[in-house]
Amino acid sequence: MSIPTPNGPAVETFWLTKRFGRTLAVDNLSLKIPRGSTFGLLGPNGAGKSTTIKMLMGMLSITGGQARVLGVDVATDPVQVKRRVGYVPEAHHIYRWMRVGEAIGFCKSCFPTWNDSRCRELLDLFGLDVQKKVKHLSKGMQTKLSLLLAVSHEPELLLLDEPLSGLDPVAREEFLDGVLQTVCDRGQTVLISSHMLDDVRRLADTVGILYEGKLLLQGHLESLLGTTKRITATLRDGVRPANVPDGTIFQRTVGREWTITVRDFSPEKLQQVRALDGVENAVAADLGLEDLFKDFIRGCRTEKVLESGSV
Amino acid sequence: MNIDPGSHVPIYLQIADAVRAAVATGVYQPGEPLPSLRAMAVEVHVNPNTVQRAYDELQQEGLVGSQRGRGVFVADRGTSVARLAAEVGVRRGLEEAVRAAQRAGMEPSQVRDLFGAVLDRMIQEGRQSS
Amino acid sequence: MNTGWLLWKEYRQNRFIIYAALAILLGPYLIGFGALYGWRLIYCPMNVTPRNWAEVWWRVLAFANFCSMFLSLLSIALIGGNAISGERVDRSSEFLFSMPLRRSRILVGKLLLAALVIAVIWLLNDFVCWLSPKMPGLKVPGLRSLPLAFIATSSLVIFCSAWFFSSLVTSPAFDVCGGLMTPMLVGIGIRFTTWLLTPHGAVPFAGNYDADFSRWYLRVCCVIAPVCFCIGTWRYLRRVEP
Repeated sequence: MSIPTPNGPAVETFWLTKRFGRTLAVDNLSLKIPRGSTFGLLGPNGAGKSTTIKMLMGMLSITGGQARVLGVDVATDPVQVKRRVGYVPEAHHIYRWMRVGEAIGFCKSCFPTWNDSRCRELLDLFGLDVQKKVKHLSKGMQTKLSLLLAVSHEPELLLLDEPLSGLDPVAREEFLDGVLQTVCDRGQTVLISSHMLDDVRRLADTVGILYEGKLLLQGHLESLLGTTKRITATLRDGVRPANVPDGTIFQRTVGREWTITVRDFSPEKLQQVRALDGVENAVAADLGLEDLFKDFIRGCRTEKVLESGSV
Repeated sequence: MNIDPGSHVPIYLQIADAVRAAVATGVYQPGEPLPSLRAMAVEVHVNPNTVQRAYDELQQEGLVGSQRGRGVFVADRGTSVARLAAEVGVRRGLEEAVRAAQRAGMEPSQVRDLFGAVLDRMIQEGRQSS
Repeated sequence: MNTGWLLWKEYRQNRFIIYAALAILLGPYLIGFGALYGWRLIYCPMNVTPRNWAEVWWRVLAFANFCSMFLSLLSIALIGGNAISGERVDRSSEFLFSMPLRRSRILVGKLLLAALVIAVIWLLNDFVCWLSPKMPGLKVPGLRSLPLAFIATSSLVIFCSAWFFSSLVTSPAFDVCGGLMTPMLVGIGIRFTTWLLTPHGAVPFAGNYDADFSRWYLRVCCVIAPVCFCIGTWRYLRRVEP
């Protein structure tokens, strides 16, 4: 039996690996999410986000390594993990023939820590009708029901797997409200994987970028945004210089315009670029989360990433 | 209160700017409480930790003070501090404009002239409309 | 606790199979008695009456009972084959497994429902068997002379192998067919083995091996069934995925 540690990180994985036949879905992932933080897991389709979350939830066998959730080894005691974690999957498979009220009753019977008042509060917030059958709910309503079922037992950790895809803006906002209310009231730890980078930026304080099963980087969101800059310069002859500053994630040239995205930016790096032969008008600018994410992924794809650029 | 998550300005600074503007224009009077962390977080749809950071920032400036257990209050000299500190936001906007000018390869004197012209025109427009 | 919920969920998930099982159970009796009633409607006005009404009744009942028994093998295959793969194929198991339930609890729910349905089938059919010798004016031996042991062991092996396939292959249709095929393959295997072991010159399947055959059939089934059941259960309990 594993002994839960109350103050350890909410999620900790050690060389977590998942293989489906020949394909490596998650590759030696070592992740650490402290309690009380909101972690945004970003990555293109097929990067291994859902696979990772399912392994953390004890719903997928682990090929190698270890995953500890709330101090419990998932492989040895998945039931305890499920009791203390709330999970909103990407696709909802709540029994379609149940009424909303019945689905709530079913879940309530499974969790000893079920909180009725929280449940009612969310029912009101989401405007869910307990008499309605699950199969007659819209996609947005199903997602909200899924969130309601995931947070009403007061979990210590909330795993949200692409919860916002396919929701209209109003439903998305209501969903985020629901998540925020639980985060505010209980200081829950949240892991959210999403493509909606704007929403991730609102919610998350820490982010990690997953690409082909590997964690490219993990860090505090605002400091990451603050220290990553994009330098734009003009190339006199349109020829890209051979050497670039340390920490260059991605570079490209369009005609004479040369753009490089640099991690751990410092004024010296800008000076370095200015000092290069044939480079004029080098200016550094901030970039948003979306551009940062895209540049990281593009950088990996073109395999132009330098050793210092990868974690 | 409007937050733009797509902007490259950190969200906590956006919140701080918005609160500063609200205090400067008298939405929150000195001695009045600011919305609680929870209320503010749900209101603008951001993580409460981010709101906390914005409030910390404002507290450092002396715009707000906190009373244990009672939340965050606008300081007595909050309005004047807010007007002063609004400079920070304005400076950021100007920096952005100057950067755009640099990218466009403009000379410093050109930028200065342009700024003067824009300022004059806007003041004039303001007079006409009022 | 939640055993009631789990049982209800199993019922709702499998309710069409349960309805089918009930139709298979009661259908032969209803058709038999319907025919009997029809016969009376047609022929009684013509003053045609059978010599022994009791025997007619009894024959109809016996035939219906036999059909119901035999067809119940199909119901049992359906129940066994859908037990595990049924909820995997509609993916509702993914919801179920996000709940903090021990796999053994879920398994107990499934077995309880299967046991309940099979018990209803067997109780009714057995009651008819038990009733039949007590009918007045009856001159035929009791229903026990029907291959009851054969049907019982076949049911057992069908359920257990369907259960086994169900835990292995996420396709209820395949699992049901697998369950139905197993006793047939056992029978064919025994036939060929018996022929193989008889002295040279024997014509295949010409002799009367029936006594030997049924003895071996029962034995082989009684070995295969628990093995299949245990492997299926073990596989289910050991799996991490829903």
